[in-house]
Amino acid sequence: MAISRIFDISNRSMQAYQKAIDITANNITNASNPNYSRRRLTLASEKTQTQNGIQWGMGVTLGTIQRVRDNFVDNEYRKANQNFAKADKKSWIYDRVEQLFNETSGSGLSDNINQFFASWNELSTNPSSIPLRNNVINSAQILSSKIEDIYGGVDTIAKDVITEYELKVGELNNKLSQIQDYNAKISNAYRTGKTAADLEDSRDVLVDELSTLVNMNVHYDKFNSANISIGGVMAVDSSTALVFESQYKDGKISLVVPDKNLKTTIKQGELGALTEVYNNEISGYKENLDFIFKELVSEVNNVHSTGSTLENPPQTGINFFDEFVDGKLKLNSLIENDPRLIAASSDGSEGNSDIALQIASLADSQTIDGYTFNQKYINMLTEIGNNSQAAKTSVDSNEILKEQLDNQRSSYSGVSIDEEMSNLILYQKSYDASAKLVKMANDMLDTLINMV
Amino acid sequence: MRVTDRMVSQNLLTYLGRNKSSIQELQSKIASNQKILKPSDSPTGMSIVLNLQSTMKQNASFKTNIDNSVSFLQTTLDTMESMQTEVENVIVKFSEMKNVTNKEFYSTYGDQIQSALESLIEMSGTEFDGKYIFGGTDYSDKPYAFNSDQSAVVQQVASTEGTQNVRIRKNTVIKVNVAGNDLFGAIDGSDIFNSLLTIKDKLKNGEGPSDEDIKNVKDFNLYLLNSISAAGNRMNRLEDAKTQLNSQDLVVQGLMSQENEIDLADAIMQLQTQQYALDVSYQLASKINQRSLMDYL
Repeated sequence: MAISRIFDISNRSMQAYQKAIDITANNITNASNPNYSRRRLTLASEKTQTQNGIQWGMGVTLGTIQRVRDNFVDNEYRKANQNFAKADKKSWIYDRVEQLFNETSGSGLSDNINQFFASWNELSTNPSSIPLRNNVINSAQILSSKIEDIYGGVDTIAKDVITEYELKVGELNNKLSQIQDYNAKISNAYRTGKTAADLEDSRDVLVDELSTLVNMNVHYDKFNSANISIGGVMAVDSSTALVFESQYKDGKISLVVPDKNLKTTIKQGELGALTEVYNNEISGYKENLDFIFKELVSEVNNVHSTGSTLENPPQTGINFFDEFVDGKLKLNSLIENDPRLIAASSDGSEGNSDIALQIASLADSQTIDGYTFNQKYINMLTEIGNNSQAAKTSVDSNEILKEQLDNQRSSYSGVSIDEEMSNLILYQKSYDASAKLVKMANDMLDTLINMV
Repeated sequence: MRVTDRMVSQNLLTYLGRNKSSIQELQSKIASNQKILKPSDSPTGMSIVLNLQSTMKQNASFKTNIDNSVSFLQTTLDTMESMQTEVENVIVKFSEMKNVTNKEFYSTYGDQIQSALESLIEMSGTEFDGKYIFGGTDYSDKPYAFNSDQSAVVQQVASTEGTQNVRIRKNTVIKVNVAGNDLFGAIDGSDIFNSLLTIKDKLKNGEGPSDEDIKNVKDFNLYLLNSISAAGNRMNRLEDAKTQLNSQDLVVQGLMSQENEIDLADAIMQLQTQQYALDVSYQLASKINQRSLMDYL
């Protein structure tokens, strides 16, 4: 009968709009939750019935509750995040390296090298002067302690990089096991025909955080399990999550799965940054400095050993430096105790300063690949500066990209209070109208009954 | 485009952050008055600045060397000029001695020659900063002195011919001493000291100086005058080098300033602009962020 149909329709529509208001309320309360994707209710028309050749509409019915999320934008965001995180981490490491080689304060390594050669130059005017000889020893000692400081600093940075790496690997494993947990729950839900929007939201947060750490690819299977591969290895699906470890071999770090003997190549994210800088650059700093100072020791000694000391009778064949090993520039301990053993003279007479002049002129001799000692060091510093500048530029540009993609995501999945409020009004009015329908149908029925 | 509330607040924070970060950078540059605080600020600039610093340090070292050498040479010049005065006096006395009437005063002349000789020997042993200026590179003892029985003047050190070299420019090394060997020659009896000693002995014995003796002294005088002139030239060369180093320093300072110092006016203007932009962002935020449909329902 038509009137009972009205009751039916109104009943269902009130339920539908109640549910719609419910969902809107959920959206509104989660408006400031950054990890929430808005839910959207689709209302559909109930299937029409045909009776007596007339088609009767059956009202509204609840459609699906959609979780509004764009996987494509998500993927793009995660890629940008990987790049940004890598550049950011690199920038952090380079900042520390730059602080180590602090040259602009006027007491950097370059200055010490200059001062060392200048002290020989000054000795040449009065080679028998003990104070000037002590100056030479002093400037060599200052140079030596500066080099030791720098090597110590590089070691500290290397250690910190390894510590940070291991910390991040721990985080990685943690997240992977959580994701696997969610994957299992979500797969189960989908298998039984249900949805799991809240679980998916939480999982998306974890996957985003994962993209900060490593380069990865996400693939959703038919039961909506996020299967993630990291650096060429399938790291997590609905049933398993691999446990990664850091491996230190031949002075290089890498990420491996020891149980299954799997190796990975990590190129992005924070782990990518740490790997790249540690493997390719940190060892290079020490190597370059080694090269420069070993040459310095050898050149100075070559000249010095041909000179004669200030003793009576003068000795010859004495080295100024003992050796340069492990970042320690060792002066000949005999010279440190007795400045007269500095061989400034070429012919044994105390006023002759030819050897001191020759050593001083080593400052300008282009012995290392056509560069002087100082220039070679400055070249190394310039390279560090260039790398650091490149990392900073990369941070800036990737940050902008990441923000744009985040905005896009927000625009698509975020809650707009204005929109929800206007929907609320709509649903409320519809609910009122449906309630009114019931009242009207009631009145009509009353009229009919009272007729009898 | 669909704009959510979160986007609006997120964007606000992002732009505020960018604004504040450029303000912070400007502040540190203004406070330190340096453009380049670390290598990444400008790698090429830093390389230039460090190379220039290196040059300046070298120049400072050269200037110290020049100053030391100038003092040394000045002492040498002064001593040589005093010697020359002494020798000039002796030569004047020779012409007096030629006058036969002065023969009875030979003994007195002998004393005067002795006094001149002792003066010359003393001057030959002048010291500067612990170095005997005519000793070459051997400072073990005074170069010239009387022997034990005062019968001759001998060279006390093994050699007076060493050269004191000093670097005054990158590729310039010059000799700054007057070696005893060069000035007085070999001490073999015909040198100035022993010639004067011979003349004094002769005078004391009532004999006048021979022509050869006088010639030795006059030759020495000429040689001394030439040496004084040469040393004077060397002084000029040192002072010229110092002037050049000073002007080079000015140029290098200018270059360093250009590379490394900030344009204070420009930086302050930028700072003000950024601060103004920050104020405007804040005001805008207060107007937009608070509104929504709910205010009007």
